[in-house]
Amino acid sequence: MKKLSNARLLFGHDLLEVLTAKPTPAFSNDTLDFLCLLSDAGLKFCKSNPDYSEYSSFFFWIRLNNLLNIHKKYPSFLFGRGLSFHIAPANVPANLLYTLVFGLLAGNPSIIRGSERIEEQLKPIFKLINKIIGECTFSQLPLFSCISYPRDQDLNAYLSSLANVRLIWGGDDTVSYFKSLSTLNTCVDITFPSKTSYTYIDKDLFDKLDTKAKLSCFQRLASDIELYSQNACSSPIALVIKSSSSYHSNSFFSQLSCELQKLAINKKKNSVDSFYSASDASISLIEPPLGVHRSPYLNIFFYKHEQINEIIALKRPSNSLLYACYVRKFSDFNPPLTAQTITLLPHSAESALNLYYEIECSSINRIVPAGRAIDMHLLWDGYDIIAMSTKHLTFK
Amino acid sequence: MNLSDYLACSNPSMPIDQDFFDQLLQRHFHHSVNCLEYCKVSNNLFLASSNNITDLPYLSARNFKAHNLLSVPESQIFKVLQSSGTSGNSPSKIFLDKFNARNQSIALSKLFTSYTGLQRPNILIVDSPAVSSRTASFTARKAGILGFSSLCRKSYHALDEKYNIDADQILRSINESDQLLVFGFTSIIWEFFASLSANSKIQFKNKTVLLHGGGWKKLTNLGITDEQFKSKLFQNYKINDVKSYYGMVEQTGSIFFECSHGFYHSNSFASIIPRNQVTLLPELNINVPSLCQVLSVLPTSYPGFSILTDDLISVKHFSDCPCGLKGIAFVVNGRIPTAEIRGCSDTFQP
Repeated sequence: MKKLSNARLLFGHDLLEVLTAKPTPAFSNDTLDFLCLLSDAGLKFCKSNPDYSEYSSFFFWIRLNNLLNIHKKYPSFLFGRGLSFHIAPANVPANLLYTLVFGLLAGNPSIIRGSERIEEQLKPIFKLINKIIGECTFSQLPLFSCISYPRDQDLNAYLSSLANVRLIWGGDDTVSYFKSLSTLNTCVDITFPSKTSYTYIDKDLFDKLDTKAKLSCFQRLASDIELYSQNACSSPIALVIKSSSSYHSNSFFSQLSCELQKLAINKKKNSVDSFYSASDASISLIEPPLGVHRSPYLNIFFYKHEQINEIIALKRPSNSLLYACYVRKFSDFNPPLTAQTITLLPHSAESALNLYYEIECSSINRIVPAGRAIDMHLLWDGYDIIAMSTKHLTFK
Repeated sequence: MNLSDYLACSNPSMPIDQDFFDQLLQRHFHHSVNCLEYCKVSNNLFLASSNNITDLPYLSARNFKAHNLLSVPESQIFKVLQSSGTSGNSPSKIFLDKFNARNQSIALSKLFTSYTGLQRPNILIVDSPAVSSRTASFTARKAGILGFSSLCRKSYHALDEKYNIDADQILRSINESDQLLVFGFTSIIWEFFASLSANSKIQFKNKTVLLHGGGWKKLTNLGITDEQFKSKLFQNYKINDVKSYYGMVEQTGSIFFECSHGFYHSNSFASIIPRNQVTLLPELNINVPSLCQVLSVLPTSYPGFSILTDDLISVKHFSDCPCGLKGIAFVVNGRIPTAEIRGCSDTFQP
């Protein structure tokens, strides 16, 4: 078919077969079996290939026990809505894998548009997937194709016109563009426009933690910052520090920097990107920071809390650059309507709920402890992705 | 000592000394006052005072792609150099005023004479005249060709406008020259001599120096080593003086020539600081692949005197290279894995 000629299969089933495939029940046994095999193979692969260690959390997430627990939270008679078209983001390669799993768990035949950049990074994982579907037969596994193609408005329009569900990742421009294309009246769009995320620190409470708890917080926060170089929309880009004292010790930032240094050394990560981001932000930002914490692994530019939103709009930080402000109470800083995830230090369910009511930002949908900011889940951006991608069958 | 005096009295092959550091400090103060962008980076990311050459602030080579960085009024700019900017990547833009461009020529001339021993030779440019035509954009390749051509008497092009071998021009360059510089970009030189091998009539004379630069990446991909490269040139064409150089459009004029032992050498106009890839601290050990910070006394119209590149180098000798030349001797290992692919050798599209 001419319209599909630009599409190149990265992994999965034949694209034409996927286009005509039928949906299956959500959480079908075959889907769970397939994901269980992929989880085992993936975890082994990550263990023997340290460069891919960041994908181990994905393979751990799709382990059978976890999926069975998730399944329990959904009603019994859920069925895929039909063809699901996914626009995977290029900034976080692992999202391509997550969005595939969301489609499969929902029971939808899935077409995922990936990028060549992602292909370079995920090639060995694509091979694992192809190997499993080549060796085993899964009658109730929804068919899927991950494809890449150069700019092709006709193909975007064609695949959109056939889709029953679209998962559109990748920021404001991508979402606006795909929403402008014609779709079936019944097509459900789950969109993920550009988001920003923050870490709120109650310094007085944090200082009361014991050394071990503090260290754990630093390690987890460092992981949230480092894992996707802050390209993930839920990675913190600014610190909001509530403190009753006017004296601010540098030891907090030094210890955070120390944990980032350990991650950099473990991953043999060079610091050029980090330096570039900090120098680029220095050049781009009109207002000089009030203070700077500098190291090869972490740069923090301090501003007044009134300036933070404007500064982020001018230059979104990445590669271990953070903006920070001090406040007397958390409500002094108003996050913008792009805000998504808040990492709270120290965290408790009660303090998270109190914070949600205190800051009154309607777009925030996650307040999590350090180390959980980038945990992907079927509840994302306030959506229940399974509920939206399936239909609930009623038999009377 | 001002820059003009320094250039006039420097012996390029002398080791780095206090005068070199003083020149760099002068550049630091000049750019801090005259380039707001440099001043911001310096203030935000570096210590207030530089007591040592390794304390000097630097910019990232990528800053020159994202921003127009000048240290003189825009009205004084007469030439804008551009890096090759391979597909999808923005090129670096380097803004030159006449003073900066003149100093580049002076430094290049001194380095060239000192390292090649040639005095105003003729030049055989292994490239097409199209690359350096008036209408062509001012790329690193064009800058290299024009820069070296300006040091030579008469120019010949080994390739015609359509990148075909121009045997007549090649033979003329050999017959009409007592001293001949054969110059081009590494991968183009290799492709040129590989296609030339069928024509056995071409034999170069004794006083021929082949100078090439622009990266070894394509040849590494072809599995060709430096030894094979030199051996082929000697066996087939009797060229026994083959030198490469390491340089970049961000610091045109101050380049690093290869010594007889195959190492690039710092000189009195330009030096390097190897930096640990993770800590960015100066790497004090030899043979450790390190990030390359390049230093040059020349950039005055743009803040490029101290740049952290995306290149990896390994220092072989900090001061005592067996070739006898002074300065830091190093090899280039390539680019950091995540860095965008660039370089003149990646732009050749016949």
